[in-house]
Amino acid sequence: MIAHRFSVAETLKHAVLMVGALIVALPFYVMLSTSLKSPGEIERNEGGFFGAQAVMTDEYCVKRNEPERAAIEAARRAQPGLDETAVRTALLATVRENCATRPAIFNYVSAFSEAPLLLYLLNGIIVTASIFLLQVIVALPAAYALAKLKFWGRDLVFGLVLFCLLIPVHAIALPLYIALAKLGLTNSYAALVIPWTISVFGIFLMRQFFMTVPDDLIDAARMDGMGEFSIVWKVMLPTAIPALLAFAIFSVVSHWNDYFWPRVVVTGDRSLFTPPLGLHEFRGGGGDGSLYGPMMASATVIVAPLVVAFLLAQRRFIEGITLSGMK
Amino acid sequence: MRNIRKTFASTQVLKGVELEVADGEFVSLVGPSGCGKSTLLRIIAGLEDGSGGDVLIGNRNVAGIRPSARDLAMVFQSYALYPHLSVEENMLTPLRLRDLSLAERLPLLGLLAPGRKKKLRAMQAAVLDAARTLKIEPLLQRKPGQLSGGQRQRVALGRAMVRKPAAFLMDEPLSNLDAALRVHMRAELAELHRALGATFIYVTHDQAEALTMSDRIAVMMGGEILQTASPDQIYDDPQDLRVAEFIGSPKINTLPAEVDADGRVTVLGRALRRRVVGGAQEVTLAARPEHVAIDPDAAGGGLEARLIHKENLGSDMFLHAGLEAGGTRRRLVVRAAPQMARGLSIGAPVWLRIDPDKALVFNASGARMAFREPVGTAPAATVRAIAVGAVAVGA
Repeated sequence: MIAHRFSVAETLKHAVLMVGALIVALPFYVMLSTSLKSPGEIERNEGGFFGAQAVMTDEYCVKRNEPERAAIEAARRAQPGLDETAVRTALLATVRENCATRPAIFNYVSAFSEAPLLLYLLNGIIVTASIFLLQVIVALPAAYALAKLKFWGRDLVFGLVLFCLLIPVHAIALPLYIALAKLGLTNSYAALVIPWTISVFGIFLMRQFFMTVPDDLIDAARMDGMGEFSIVWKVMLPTAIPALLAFAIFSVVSHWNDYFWPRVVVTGDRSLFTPPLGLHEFRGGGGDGSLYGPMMASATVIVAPLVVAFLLAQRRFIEGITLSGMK
Repeated sequence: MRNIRKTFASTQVLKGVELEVADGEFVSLVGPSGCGKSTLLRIIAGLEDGSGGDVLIGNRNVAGIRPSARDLAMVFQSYALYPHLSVEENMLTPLRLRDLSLAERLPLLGLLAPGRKKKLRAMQAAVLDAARTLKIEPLLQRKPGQLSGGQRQRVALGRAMVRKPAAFLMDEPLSNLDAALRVHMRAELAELHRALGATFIYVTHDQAEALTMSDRIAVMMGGEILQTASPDQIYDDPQDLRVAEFIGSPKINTLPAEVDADGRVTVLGRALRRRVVGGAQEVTLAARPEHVAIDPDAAGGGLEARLIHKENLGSDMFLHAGLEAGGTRRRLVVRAAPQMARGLSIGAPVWLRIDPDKALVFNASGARMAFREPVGTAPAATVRAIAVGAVAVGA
C-alpha cells in the first residue's frame, strides 16, 4: 500500500459523500428507531434509538378482550361478596396484564396482525418476479436482434426503442388503465404485471451489452448448429449475466417499491395489495394516527428484502450499475 | 472436398474469386487486411451470403444450406469459446447439436430417450480422443477463462476436430498469440494437418504463416486472388508485382528500369544480361535481398551505393544500402554473410550486383514479364551504390 497523504481535495470529496450518506441514511434511521419505540416515546420524541423498551399495555388488545357480561357473571358466582364493579376491575386487570408487551414486539406483531403483511409480501414477490421474468423473455431476443442481426429497418426500430425511453409512465397511465378496464383485467395480477412486460430500458441495456459480445462467438454457435433462439438462450444469456443483474436491480427495485401503478389498478381487492399499498393501510389505521410504530415496523419489513439482497450481492450490484453507466 | 468456386460480380469486396481446393490440401488465403479473405471464408462457411457465385463442397452446391449442415468446422481468431461452459462441454456442443435429436436434448425428458446414453458415451470418447491429440486432457474440466491463449487455441481446434468435418476453416487463428507461441503453433498446426489428413483453408495476413504451413497459397488483394501456387512458386516466381512485394520479408527490392525494342533490360544505365519478351517500355525490376550481392569495392562492377543501416539477425545480416536512381533515393536491402558485413561500416560506399537470373521484371501494370532464353551477351548489370548500412534479416 502506498502511504496516504493528506489531501484537501480528497478530504472534501469524502466530506461531501459523508453528508450525502447521512441524508440518505437518516430516514432509515428514523424508520428503524420508530419501529422499536412505544407510542408515547414516539410522540414525545425520547428514548434514543431503541427506546426504553419498558413494558407497555397494548390498548387494542385490552379493548378486544374486554370482559364480557357472561364472564363477569361467572366470576361473581365464583366469588360472592364482591360487587359487579370490583369483579370487572379485577378481570380487566388480568386482561391488562395479559396484554402487557414490549414496544418493539408490539410494533412488529401489529405490523403482521393488523394487515396481512405476509400476503402483501407474497404479492410483491409474485408481481416483481413475473415482471422481471417476462421482461427478460421479451428483452433478450429483441436486444439480440437489434445488436447482432442485420435486417431492414433495424436502426429505425432501435430509434423507436430510444424514443420509448423518453415516455414517462404517468403520461400513459390513463390509456393503459382504460384498456385494462375494458378487458376486465383491473384488480388482477395481470393488471399489475402486463403493462411492464416490455421494458424498453431492458432492451436498450441488453442491446448495449450484446454489442460488446464478439460476433465470432455467435458465428461459432451457428457453425455448431444452434438456431437463433438457441443462441439467445444458450450463448447470449449466460454471457449477459452481469448485465442481466444490473437490469434486475432496476426492475425489481422499481416494481417492488412502486406505489403508483398498484394504487391505480387495484381498487378494491385487498388480497392483491403489494407491500407499498399495505403500508398505506396504516396511514389512517388507528383513526388517531398513533400507529406510527407498527407502520414503521411494516416499512422495515418491506424494505428488508431489498436491503438484505443488496448486502449479499453488494459487489455485483455495484458492478451492474457501473456497467449500465446510469445513475 | 473439391471445387470451391466463388464468383462475385457485384460487390466491391470480392470481385469474382475462383478457388479450387483439393481433398486433404492445406490452402492459405493470404493478403493485407481488408482484401476480402475473411469474407471469402465466411461465405464458404455459410455465415455470409455471396451476392453471386456458387460454393461447391464435394460437387454439392451448398447455397442456402445452413452453416452447420455444410460439414465444415471453423476456428476463429478470438477462439469464440463459450465462456460459461467447461472445455469438455465446449467440445461436446457441436456433437450434441449434430447427433442428438431435439427430444434427446430436452433437459429432463431427454434422459428418457432410448439410446441417448450410448450416443453420449460415443461423444465423450470423441472429445477425449481430440483432447489427447491436442494434449489438453488435464484441462477438460476448466473454464475458458482459466486458460492461457495457447490453451484456448487448442480447445478451439479441438472443438473443430471432434466433428471430423470435411474441411477446417481457420480465420487467423494464431494472430492473438505471442510471437514465440505463434511459431510453435505453426509447426503444430502443420503436423496436425498431416496427421488428420483433412482439408484446411487458412486465412492469414502473415505471409510467414502461409509460407511455412501451406501446400498452396492464394494471395488475395483488393478482392481478387492474384496468384494461387505452392509457397516456392509464390516466392520465387510471383506473377504480379503486388504478390512479389507482399510475400517475403524483408520486402523485395524494386528499381525502375527500361526495356528497349529488343527486350534488353537496362537498370540505372546498366544493361541486365537478360532480355524479356515485349517491346520498349518502362518496367520495374525486382530482386529479393538474397539475390543482390554486395561488394566492398567496384571490382565486381556493381552499382554504387552507400551503407545506411545494418540489421544483425545472428545467422544473417541485412544491409540497407541507399542509392540514387533517377533523382530519387532508393533503399535496397541486401542479405549478406555476417563475416563480410562486419567489415563494412555505416556510411561506407558499397557496390551492389543484382543476380540477373533471379531478378524479376514487371511491366507498368504490375504483370510479370518472362525472360527470353538466355543470350549471355550483355554484361552483368552493375549499379553504382554507396554502402550506407547493413541490415541482417533473420529467419
